[in-house]
Amino acid sequence: MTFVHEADVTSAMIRSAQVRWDLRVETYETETELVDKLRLFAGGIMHRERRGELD
Amino acid sequence: MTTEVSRDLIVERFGDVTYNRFLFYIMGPYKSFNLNYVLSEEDRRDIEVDDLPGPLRRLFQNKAEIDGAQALLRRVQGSLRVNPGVNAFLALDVDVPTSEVDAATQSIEFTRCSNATAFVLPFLGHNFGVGEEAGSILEAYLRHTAIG
Repeated sequence: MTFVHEADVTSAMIRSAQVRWDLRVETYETETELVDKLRLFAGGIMHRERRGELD
Repeated sequence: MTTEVSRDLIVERFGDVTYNRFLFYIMGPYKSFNLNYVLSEEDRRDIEVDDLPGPLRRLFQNKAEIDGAQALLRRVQGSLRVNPGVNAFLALDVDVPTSEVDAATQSIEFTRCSNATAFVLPFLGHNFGVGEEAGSILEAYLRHTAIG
């Protein structure tokens, strides 16, 4: 699971979530950057699934 | 009859992409962030928006931003379905009535069914509910994986 938030969004929950859960948190400034980060995230999971690294 | 959320249900509702079985659930702040969706017209008649404290007043006034956030999620979903061709979806597309399964439970079920989940947070001038919704999903998921 990933959280991608616009740079202006702040939340104590988002900051502390990484400590408690296996979670990626990213920020974005533009829509292109947002889509790129989501593509990378999905691609990364796909690779790990193929290699059998995920439960 | 109660609708049961499953991978097959989600796959069935969508057209073909290169990786049909790779479900990517895109979550974002719409609907639940606007009191106009929660309160009836009658309820709203009794409320003088200008008398409300700032954060609540903004919740009544941000319909345009909410629509904008949903349009953003739509475009993001479309981009991901084309490249890399994953089966990206929004909760409202699966179209499970909230009278059968409440929204938070749906989010948890969609997350469980999906290969990947993203919570996209554009800046809407406030962050009410973000932590609560995300926290409930993560906590439920953690319990689920711990039980195995």
